[in-house]
Amino acid sequence: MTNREKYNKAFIDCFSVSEEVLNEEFVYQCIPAWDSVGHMGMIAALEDTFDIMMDIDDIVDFASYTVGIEKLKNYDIEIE
Amino acid sequence: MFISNVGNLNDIAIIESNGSILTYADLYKNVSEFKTFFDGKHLVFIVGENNFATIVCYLSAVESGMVPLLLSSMINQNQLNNLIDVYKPKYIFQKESRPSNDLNLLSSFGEYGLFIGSKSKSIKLHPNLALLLTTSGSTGSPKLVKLTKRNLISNAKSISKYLDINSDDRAITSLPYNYSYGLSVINSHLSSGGSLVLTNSSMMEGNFWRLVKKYSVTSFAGVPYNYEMILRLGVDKLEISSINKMTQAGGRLDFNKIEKINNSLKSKNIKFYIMYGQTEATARMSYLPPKDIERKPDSIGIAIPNGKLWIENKNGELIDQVNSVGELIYSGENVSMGYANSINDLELGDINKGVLQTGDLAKFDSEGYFYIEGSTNRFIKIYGNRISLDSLEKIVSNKGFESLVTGDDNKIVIHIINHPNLSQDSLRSEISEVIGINHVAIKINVISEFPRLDNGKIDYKFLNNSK
Repeated sequence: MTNREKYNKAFIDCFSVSEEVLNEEFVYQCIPAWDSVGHMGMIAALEDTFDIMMDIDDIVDFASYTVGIEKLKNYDIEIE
Repeated sequence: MFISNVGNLNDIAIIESNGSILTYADLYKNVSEFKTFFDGKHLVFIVGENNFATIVCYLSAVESGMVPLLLSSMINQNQLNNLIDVYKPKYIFQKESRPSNDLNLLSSFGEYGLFIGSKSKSIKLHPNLALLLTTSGSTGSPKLVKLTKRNLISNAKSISKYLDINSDDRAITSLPYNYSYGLSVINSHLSSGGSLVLTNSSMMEGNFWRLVKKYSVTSFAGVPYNYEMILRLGVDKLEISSINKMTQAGGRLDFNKIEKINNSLKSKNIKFYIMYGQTEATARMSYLPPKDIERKPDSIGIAIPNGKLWIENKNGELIDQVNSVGELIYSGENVSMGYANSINDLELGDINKGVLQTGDLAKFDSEGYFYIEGSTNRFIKIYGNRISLDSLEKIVSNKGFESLVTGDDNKIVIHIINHPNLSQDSLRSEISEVIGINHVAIKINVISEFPRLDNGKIDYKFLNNSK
């Protein structure tokens, strides 16, 4: 799997959404599943997937699908 | 009334998330202006959130003797319409962007409006009735807890006393205003001359922590999952140097986690309070004094000031032996009048008479500290919401499926008999929406038949272990 596929899978699994909705409009609280509880689950899934430990600032400012891609760069993960 | 008359008028009462600062003088002025819209004694639905307009509407409604029902602005329209059909409120305070076909706008308050409901009907409200709260989070269930002004004042006073809340204290609204615990934070601070930072941001948002830092928040309230988030984020990494008090209620937090959090908070000179309560008792019934948290991290502590806790056996007789389990009973001025399930129930008087059977099983130790051991009924507390497993079974059966529901404080499992129309994903999202719980906590276990005991009864034990 490419990094993009892995990244998308975490969102699809955690929020039960289809791949088409994953774009710059997919933001925190845009659907009921992405609340603070869902956020914690999604971060845990990304950490498992990429074998990283995310920093507090990156967790709390991970505000959208697109922002997340920038945040992962801090861990040398490039989502192409 | 319960907003402070003791504090200085020029003291800060409220800081909005956009940075607007309002003193007690500003708050009183806004409340007395808002009160002019209310006349008589009527039902008011407040469909709001943690912001100034909502708080002013709530305070004005209670002050003018109206009976507000507090609801979340996140409530879905069907659930709101159901509640409107059942209770036919005269006034509805909501975002103007919500559907308002049958409503007449009385006045605007920023993005909110106060409307007159077209389905409103002159109903009899008991003279002591002052506030209605839903029994759990954001569900659309018509079952409401009926509270009096005395309930609100008494509980706010007790809380302010044991938490030592005064004009130096500043809380941030980490919980929704319409949740009894969240409301108790608002009431206890405004009745002690303290201040509030109003936000709808969660702890998972950077904005929340920036507000804590920028406005030197001193106190913070959370349900177990909030503290799990804090543990995940790392207590030591949080910028919380202004905080001196943290409280936890709304369900049981694992005592290993309590110890872990308390150790980190201790080094920051933050007092950590474990508390216990129910909406049926306005909010709080007990607290564990921070000095005892290391000795008894699994205890819910002692009754709040002016309250009393004891244990009874199945026959309603007092159990006075240490470490014997029975039903936990509470008495105090904060015990609600009872429930309402229909409009007629709003006319009825106090049936609890100051005594609440909590439905929780508990014991006490030789020093009189209480410990929750379980529940007499099939309730679980998840993300701070109290959920009846029996009513959840009814919800699923109304959708045409046969199910049994089990659960603990981390998850709900719906054991369902396989059916051609069953879509697990859509059932999960529907249930998640109805009960207002994130779908990750809901598991669906498809089975071919229900396990039964020899006597034909459902084998819940087997189900509990099956997933």
